[in-house]
Amino acid sequence: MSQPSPLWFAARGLGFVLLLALTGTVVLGVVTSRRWSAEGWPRFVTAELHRNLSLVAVVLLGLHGASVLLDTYAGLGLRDVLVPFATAYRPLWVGLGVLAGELLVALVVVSTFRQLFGYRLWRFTHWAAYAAWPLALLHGLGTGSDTPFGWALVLYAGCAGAVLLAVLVRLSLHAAALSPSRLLAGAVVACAALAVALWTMLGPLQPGWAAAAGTPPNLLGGGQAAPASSPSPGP
Amino acid sequence: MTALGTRQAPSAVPWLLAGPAQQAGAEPLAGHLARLGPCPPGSPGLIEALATSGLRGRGGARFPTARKWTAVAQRARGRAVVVVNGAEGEPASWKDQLLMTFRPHLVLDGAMLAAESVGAADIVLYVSSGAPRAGEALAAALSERGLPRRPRIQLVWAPARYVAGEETAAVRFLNGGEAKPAVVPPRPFERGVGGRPTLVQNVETLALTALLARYGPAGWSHDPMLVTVRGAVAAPGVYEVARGARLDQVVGMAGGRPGDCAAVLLGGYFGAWIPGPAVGALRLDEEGAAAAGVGLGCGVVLALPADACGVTETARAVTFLAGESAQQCGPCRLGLPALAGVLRRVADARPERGDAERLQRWTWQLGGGRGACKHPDGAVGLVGSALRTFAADFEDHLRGRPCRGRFGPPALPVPGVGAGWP
Amino acid sequence: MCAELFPERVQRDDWGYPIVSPAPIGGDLLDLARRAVDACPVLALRLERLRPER
Repeated sequence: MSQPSPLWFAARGLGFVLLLALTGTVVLGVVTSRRWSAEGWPRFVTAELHRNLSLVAVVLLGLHGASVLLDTYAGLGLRDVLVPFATAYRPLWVGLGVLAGELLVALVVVSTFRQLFGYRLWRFTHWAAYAAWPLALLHGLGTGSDTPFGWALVLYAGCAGAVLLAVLVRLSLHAAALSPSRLLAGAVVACAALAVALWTMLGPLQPGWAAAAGTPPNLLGGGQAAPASSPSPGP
Repeated sequence: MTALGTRQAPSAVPWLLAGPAQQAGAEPLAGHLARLGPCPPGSPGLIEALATSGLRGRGGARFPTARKWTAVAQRARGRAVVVVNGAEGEPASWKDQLLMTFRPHLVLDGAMLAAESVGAADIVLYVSSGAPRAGEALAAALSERGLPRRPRIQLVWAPARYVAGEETAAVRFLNGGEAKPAVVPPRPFERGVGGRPTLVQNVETLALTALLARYGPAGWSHDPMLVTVRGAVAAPGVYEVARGARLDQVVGMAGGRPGDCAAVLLGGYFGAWIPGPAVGALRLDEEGAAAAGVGLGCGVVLALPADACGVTETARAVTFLAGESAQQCGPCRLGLPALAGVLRRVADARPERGDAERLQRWTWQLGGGRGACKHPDGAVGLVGSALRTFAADFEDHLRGRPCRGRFGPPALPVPGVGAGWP
Repeated sequence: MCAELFPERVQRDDWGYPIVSPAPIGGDLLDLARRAVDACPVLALRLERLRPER
């Protein structure tokens, strides 16, 4: 059984930092759309921070993907990180991450060349990007070997809380705050957040998750130092 | 084949309004041909004649007609569209409806001339749905002539809104959108109805072209225009005047006494108030208007009675204009209603603190072409001219001293806005 | 936001909408102008090249 290399741990760590960057980007994006400003903090500061943080996220995404590629432990190849759900290693959960990453790249490309792509496409892509964050979260919870750790859960909960708050604030933008469709959207988001929390407790935090998630048998039992899960192969 | 300019023009106006009286209804084809002779065919030569004669559009912008036709002809390749703009959204103007209703064959001649000269495959008669008689008269005239196979002619009812007659609004509506001005390029002469080069031309301009084709540019000395005269006049209505007529003469033609007028509104609700003393000096041509710093607009001449209140009438007009905004830009959506509100308060002689400054500041802020179209510019132009012409009245009102004219009968025909504000 | 980024040529009206001065922009101001044009979320600003008078 191969031993996990430093790159494997680097990938996991980068994943968390990436999630932090994405969380910050979403929050700053909502603050930008609220047109908030204060003495000494004009609107363009928020707007440009949002933009720059998203670029940092893209860089982190590249590093996260590169370290996964270069690492030999899980043996993921180029196709695995570019095509969603193509890998043998936890296909669903890795696939979600690939999707999230590609959405992020698409968003940044369209935003950078906004003058070319036009306002309508930019706006549509931005709305689609709201999906990238939950995909990234689920990817982390499902794939992440660190999920059962306390610090990881705190991080996940914190980021999720921040994004949940941001989305609810965004939905209350302008006078249409209490329109039925927005109330419905808010309720849906809140329920989704609850559902994810519940699922986390019943899924990734339960022993045997690694096997259920599709970790190849030769990797089970190695590379994890998680106390809560004892990934003993089946009988 | 009738050649251009072989007919003798009458020595004096009326030219457009010559012929049977209004009571006789729409002039039939036989009478039209007997009076004016057959219409020469359109050709590039007609565009040259337009240039020589210096004819300018009568829709409000007074743009040189030859330049417009040339721009479309250069791109047409036989597929252009001619839009006969009969949407006349200006409430105080009646000239286009009159032409369509009583001289439909002049209008149709002009439309055919335009189509033949620029190379158009389609003619659209864009008539305000608030003028059903005009559309019916055009339709009847069409069946008198028989519909040609080329160009195809159809009648489309335009929404009865102020901005529906704007060039790009008409094109947008005909392309299936709303009758609101388009914010972005391309201009209609490049890509308009159905993506094809489009000539949008006012009804009066086309009628004049039908006469120009017969009289030729050499005989085009009078360059007549139609004016809608109303207000403090004994015989309000549409009159025809030759180029360079004086504004006081025009008021007199309709039985008004220029000396008794507090002011005259010239052009339309996007025009300007001319103070009483200046009315005598104003000649109705490009030079005269430019010298006075005003535009001829769509030929509205509204004489304000001496006992009416210019502040109140301006407030009513701007309230109407604010309600007619296409809501496509900040200055119109937010600025015009606010400006109208201040004007109403001042008209009531109950201004709030800062209203005087607001009037000055907003007249500057909302102008300068910042809107999605020229609508806010027109409104602030009117307000600016009111502030100058009725300066003494504004001062009184701002001091809380209203005038008797505030609750007199309204002088401006403003749909939906009464003397007491709805 | 463009008034924040480019106060040299952009003021705001009483409703927060930009009032853009038509004066030509040259030299050092060009970079600031570009930044303001980029930042507009609704692409409402455009930089146009002035044709030289002949």
